[in-house]
Amino acid sequence: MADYYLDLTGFVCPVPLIRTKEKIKELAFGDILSIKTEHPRAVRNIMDWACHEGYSFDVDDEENGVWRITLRKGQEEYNESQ
Amino acid sequence: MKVNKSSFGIPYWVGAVLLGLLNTALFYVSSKPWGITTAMSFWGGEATKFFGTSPENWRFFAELQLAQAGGFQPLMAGTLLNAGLILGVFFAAFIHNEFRFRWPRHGKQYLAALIGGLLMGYGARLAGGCSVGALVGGTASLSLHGWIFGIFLFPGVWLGLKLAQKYLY
Repeated sequence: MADYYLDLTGFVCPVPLIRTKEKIKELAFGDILSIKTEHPRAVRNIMDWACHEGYSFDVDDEENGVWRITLRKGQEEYNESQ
Repeated sequence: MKVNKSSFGIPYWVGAVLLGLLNTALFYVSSKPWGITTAMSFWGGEATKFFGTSPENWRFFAELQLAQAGGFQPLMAGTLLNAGLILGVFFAAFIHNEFRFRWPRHGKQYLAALIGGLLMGYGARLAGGCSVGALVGGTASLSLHGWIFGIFLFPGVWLGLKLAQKYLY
């Protein structure tokens, strides 16, 4: 299990979602991806996408207008391997 | 701090209903639907006076009754609405602790914003408004131009997204 980090500050839609989708391909099931963004709409559409894919995730606000989304690729597969 | 995922942003339909009610109220008091870009074109026309032009004689402004209204008025309703829009968005972000100066990551994003702004401004003048004035105001009054605008938004946005994917990335 590995941790990945994606700093997407300074980008607006649709770039954060596209970059996230591309990054997630590099991850193995059970890996964690942490995304930093300052674009509220990107938080919303990354959340929608993660729900659609069935990935579990958390959203934290780090400071004013900066969010960190932490998601795990394929939660079910991860739980089975425990 | 943990963010409650289900409360991140109100549902889209709530915003749609609010916009509809506010636009109705605005139409009631001002007899004009909500618009954004027309006020900006008055400011743009006024700015060209610096180069010795007289925009009040241009057909575009004559049709918008700039001449009859006694020339350019800085505090025209459209300008106040735009100022209110910016202030409203500022306070909404501020009270939710989301206000922040955000800087583009790459220089090309500035260039893209400039080109995009010019194209949107030019397009809004050709189309008789932007996505607010032409689409929302136009469709609400069952004017054909609003529907045509709406249909051609889709290929426009598609092309914009493809370009963003290719160059802004």
